[in-house]
Amino acid sequence: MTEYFDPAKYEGWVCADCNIPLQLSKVDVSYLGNSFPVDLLKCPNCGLVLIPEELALGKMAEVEKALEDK
Amino acid sequence: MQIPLYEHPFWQSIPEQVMRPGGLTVTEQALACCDIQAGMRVLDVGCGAGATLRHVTAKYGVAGVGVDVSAELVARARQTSPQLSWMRSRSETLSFANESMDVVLSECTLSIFEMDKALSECARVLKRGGYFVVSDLYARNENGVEALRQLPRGTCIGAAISQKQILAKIEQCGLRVEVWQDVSEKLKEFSICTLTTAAQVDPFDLHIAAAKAKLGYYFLVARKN
Repeated sequence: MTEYFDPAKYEGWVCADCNIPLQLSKVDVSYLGNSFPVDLLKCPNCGLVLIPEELALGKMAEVEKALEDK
Repeated sequence: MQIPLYEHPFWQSIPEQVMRPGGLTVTEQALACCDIQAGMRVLDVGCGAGATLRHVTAKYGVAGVGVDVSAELVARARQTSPQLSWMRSRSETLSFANESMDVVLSECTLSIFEMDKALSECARVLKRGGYFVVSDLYARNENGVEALRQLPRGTCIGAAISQKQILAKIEQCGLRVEVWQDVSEKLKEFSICTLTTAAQVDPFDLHIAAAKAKLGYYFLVARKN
């Protein structure tokens, strides 16, 4: 399990374009000029990244809110 | 055992191994506000592997002394520049006589140590009229400081305070601040994310806290009364 989501929940998910299973990889998350590496599921062929809902609505939303000063 | 952040191998990968935002550019900006003369005694508190002191002594012809809490970094500094003086010491307990230094540099180190004690020691060893040059992180939003305190220990980020608090602490030590310059743009160039990886701090948590506190970077030049 990564810190932000449970990869087991996404087992068997494949890239819609390449039909290849997604793999856990280091991805650079960038927002408003700030970027940092995070382990996310990614297509090893085309690089498509899956951002799990729990991350998008959790810490990622919190960072956006803080950076945008909302 | 976890490696202290300042000894992490990632510092060796950055240009000139200057372990702080802005590197020597900010040091030069600050020193341009001082009247540095050849032969002056310059103390670099938290000298790391010695990159700043090597630069300053070569450029200005001053006599340099570097102190750092890390035995490993002091050894590296000594190996690279044996002609300069290097010593292992914490900022809070400097082994120098009162009023023995013309310039004290403290770059990105105040927030690592016990700030009041470190400031008091730097002021003690400075000659009257001597220059105290500081660069460090600070909270541009005083109300967001609490968010920084929630971060796990391991970086200096959690100890950042506001400009008002920094100025008050420095003036309490008998120093007069002559220049304060915000150089927060240097933080983006520095890539805090690398720091979070090295310090094992959650990057999301760090960015949330840094944004709430409007984390910035400054340099200041103060003189002893």
